[in-house]
Amino acid sequence: MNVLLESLNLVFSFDPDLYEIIWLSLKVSLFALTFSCFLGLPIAGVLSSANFTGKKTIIIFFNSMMALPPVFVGLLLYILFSQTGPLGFFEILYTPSIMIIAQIIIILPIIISVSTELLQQMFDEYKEMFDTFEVDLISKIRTTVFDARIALVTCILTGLGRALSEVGAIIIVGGNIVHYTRVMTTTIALETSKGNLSMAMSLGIVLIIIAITLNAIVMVMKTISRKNSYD
Amino acid sequence: MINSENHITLKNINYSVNNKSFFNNLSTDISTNGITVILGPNGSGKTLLTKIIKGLIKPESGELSIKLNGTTPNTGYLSQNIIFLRRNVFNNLAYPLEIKGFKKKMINKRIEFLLKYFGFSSKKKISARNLSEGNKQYLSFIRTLVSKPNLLILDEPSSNLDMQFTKKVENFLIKERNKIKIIMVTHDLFQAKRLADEILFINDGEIIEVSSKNKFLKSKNKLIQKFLKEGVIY
Repeated sequence: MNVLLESLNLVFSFDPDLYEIIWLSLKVSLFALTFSCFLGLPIAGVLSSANFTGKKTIIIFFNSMMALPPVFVGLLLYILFSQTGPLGFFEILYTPSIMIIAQIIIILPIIISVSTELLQQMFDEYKEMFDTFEVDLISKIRTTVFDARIALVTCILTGLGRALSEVGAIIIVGGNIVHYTRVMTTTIALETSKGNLSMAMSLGIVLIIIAITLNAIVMVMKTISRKNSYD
Repeated sequence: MINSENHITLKNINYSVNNKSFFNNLSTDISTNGITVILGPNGSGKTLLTKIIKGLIKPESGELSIKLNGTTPNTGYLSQNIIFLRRNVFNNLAYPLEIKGFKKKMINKRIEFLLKYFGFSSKKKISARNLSEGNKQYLSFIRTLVSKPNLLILDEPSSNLDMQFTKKVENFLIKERNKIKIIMVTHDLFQAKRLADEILFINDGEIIEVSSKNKFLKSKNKLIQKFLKEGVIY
């Protein structure tokens, strides 16, 4: 009980160190999410709307990548970007940049696979109309993505949730350096091992608050959408 | 190859359904003026024929050639399978023009005109997908007109419409029959009699007759006589 009260006190005391960690977590995850969306949604659009050789193989690949263990992603990036690695000259190991790259590798397949599934359903429904109006591929993708936007938000927030809760990869590539690469999940892992449960718990509470906020946003958007009866 | 300025010609069209030959060397010429009504019992191939004419379905072999005033026509197609975007009535009507890159001002003018003409202005902000089946079909009919087609292919345009909307659609078709070539499928023999200049009768994938309405109604063909008498062929 004491741990819980202390952690709540920490959250609402607006401790600068705590909020620095929260801010970096959000920054890294939102950067990764934005990039994944810009890259993933057009890919999902093409995979759902176009027919080409190898399409199924690509879908299987991205579906399989969803199950990629984050620790393995971290290890792979560590090998590639360590000083002796082939990409070591970039000198981004133990920086927020490589943490963003790690999160992109983890959430991009989620964005692509879930969006493809979703857009494919809508594309199948619209297909005859597209053919009737002789809609070109780009317009087909734009139309399906636009009309599926509310459902896609759920998919995007799933990606954000995955990014925010990720620990395995970023602890390896980020190094959990205080005031530089320390994020919520890595701090929870560290503080728990040190026995500082109130700090760990306070970050856990923040993560739960973020999760509830994100779900509330999705719920509000869905309600507005239903109110406008566009579903 | 057909060379005339105006023609709607299908030549040796072959198409299989479930690996079974359905259209077997189907050939016909359809009039390029007025209203051609496609009649036939259920499963006779009426919808399939319209889809081939529209180009939605590619036949396995054969030639389809359509020229109106020497050019490929701008075709409006009304399917039985009505699909709307998850948008309101106005935006659904605007869509065919938006994707062709028309200017917003021009799109608004065209849509407002059509909504007013067909008495649908009050529904322009309602979600198209939430309309009644009859209203959906009516809206779908209006949507086929937004791009000012000179060939209209309508697959049972009034099957879900009430008397009032049916009358509006029919009045429009009668008014425009000299400017727009209309090919329509209907089950309603009375509607065919009201609208048709030409009737194409199809049964089991085979075109039995293409002739003027008066000639068709006096046809000696037993299948047609049975159809005219009972509306169906058993």
